[in-house]
Amino acid sequence: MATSIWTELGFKKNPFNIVPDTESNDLIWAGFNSTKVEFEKLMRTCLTTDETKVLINLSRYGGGKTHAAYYFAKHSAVYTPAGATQPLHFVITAPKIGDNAVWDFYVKLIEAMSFTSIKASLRSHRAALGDENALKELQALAKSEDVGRLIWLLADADEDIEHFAGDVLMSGKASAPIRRKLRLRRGLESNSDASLVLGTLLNVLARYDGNSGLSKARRVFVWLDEVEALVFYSSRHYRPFTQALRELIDCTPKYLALVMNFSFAAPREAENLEIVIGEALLDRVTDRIVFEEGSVEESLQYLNDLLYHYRVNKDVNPISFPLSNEAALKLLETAPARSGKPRTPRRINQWCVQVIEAANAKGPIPATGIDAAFVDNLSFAGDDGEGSSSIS
Amino acid sequence: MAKPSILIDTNALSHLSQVSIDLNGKSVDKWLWNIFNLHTCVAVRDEFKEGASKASASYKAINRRLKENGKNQNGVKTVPRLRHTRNLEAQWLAPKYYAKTLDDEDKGERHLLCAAAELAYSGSVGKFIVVTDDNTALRKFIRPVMKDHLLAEVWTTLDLLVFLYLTRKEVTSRFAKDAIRDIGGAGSFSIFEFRELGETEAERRLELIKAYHRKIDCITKLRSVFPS
Repeated sequence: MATSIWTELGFKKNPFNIVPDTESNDLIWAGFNSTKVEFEKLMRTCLTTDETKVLINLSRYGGGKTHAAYYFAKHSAVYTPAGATQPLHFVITAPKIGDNAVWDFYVKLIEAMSFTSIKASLRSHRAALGDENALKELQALAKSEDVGRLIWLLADADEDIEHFAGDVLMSGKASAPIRRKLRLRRGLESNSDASLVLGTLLNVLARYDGNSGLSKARRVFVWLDEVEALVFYSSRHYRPFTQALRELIDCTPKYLALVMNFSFAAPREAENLEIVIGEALLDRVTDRIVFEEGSVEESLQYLNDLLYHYRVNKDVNPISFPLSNEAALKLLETAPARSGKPRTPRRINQWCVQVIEAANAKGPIPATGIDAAFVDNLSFAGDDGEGSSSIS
Repeated sequence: MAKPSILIDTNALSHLSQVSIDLNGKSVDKWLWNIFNLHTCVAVRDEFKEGASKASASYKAINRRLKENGKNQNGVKTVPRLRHTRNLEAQWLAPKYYAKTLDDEDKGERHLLCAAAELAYSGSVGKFIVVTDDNTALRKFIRPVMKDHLLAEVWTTLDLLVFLYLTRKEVTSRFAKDAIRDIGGAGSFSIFEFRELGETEAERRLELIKAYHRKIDCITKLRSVFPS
């Protein structure tokens, strides 16, 4: 395989991901320490209390919200206080289309929980309480005998029953023969049913893992990414969707932390949230975090942290190599005005890739790094608004 | 009360058909004609009809009203018979304002302008408003024509909704805001003028909706001054 520009420059791979690298071990937090500290503080508060929380995470486009979701999901051991149980995290994207949005959200969240984990927790629940008491508790949580029974049947010893129950849970539909077989009077008929199922499952997952009941219940974080997409929904669609979220919050008084990520051009404008999610859901918000545009100093720290992490030989001077320290500073100082884009992590990554690739195309990058004059002479051209500023 | 007269484009009719809540229990095809003397031209009616087979119930209902072609309060039919469209297009519009060939592209907007010219000249509908959401046509030739001739005011459907809220007591703030959201959130409504106000389409649409919601809030304040 041909060596890439990045390996030639002494990196494990390209340090500048445009979308979060959710699968690898390279999910690190670079720079922006004050935001991280604020987030960790909020996480710890969540892990030392039981009451359901609704958090809002705001930034500009490419500001690091999705990265934060995956980062905190992966590194829960770091911020879980002694004595608290490590939380569960489910990261899903808000449905892009209003038609059927509630069901789309419902299926996505169940898929994220995974049927295997759901069934394992339900079996532990049955084992801990006994069959009858487990059924009663699920029916009480679901506020419906039929919905509670359906969930209870997911942990049935009979594989066919368990399979049919899963089928009804995922499709909502229960034909007459299936209803007879499962001893149900109905399938899942409404958005309220979907919220109640999710609330009940989250409650069980919070208290039981695949082995047994947990001595202390764990917090379940549901990260709903790209919630700004709700602006595309018509009023006929956005009201039922936000209503379903409200019902989920209201029927899950404990253990849930719903974190909604929003990209706004003006993250601090209160009106934005009201238009997108409506007043009633906004009233339930308990905390909010705003990822501000990075200052030059924060952005430089971010850049250097990122380069350091991916560098094979850590002992390199200048620390911003392949940029000279002056070039890095020049880039971060001037790029926002020249490109008309804010200093967000995604933009910084794009600018760096473009500068480094442009310099490399002109010849080998010197050991002193790309100089500031090279950055000064690059022109930042138009942008298509979806993340590809170009340098010509 | 005398109804305002509007001369409406295909895309504006299509956007109005997307308003997903009823006004006082009346669907859009009812309230639109109740509140306005709605007019259009044959080209727009035909363009609108083309989309009707796979469209929503509201779209079909509007299409039916266009087909019925009833008389408005001002005594002029919804799709009035106009005699000078072809001449106006060739001798007045094309030479100065429309550089391209007079083919099917922009036909609805071109004919709508010719209808505006003929109706204004005849004096049959009094003062009227042209409603279009075609931002490209607006920038290229509709605004220049209007600037030179003061034929009519030009609005988008969102402007029309704001006006509706200003002038009709039965239109609630919730209806107006929801309708603005329905239309402004639709991918077919241009966000060209908001292109600098966000990095993604969602951000720009939000800015558009916010701008019009603010107008509704201003009118709500104005309304509160008057006794209910």
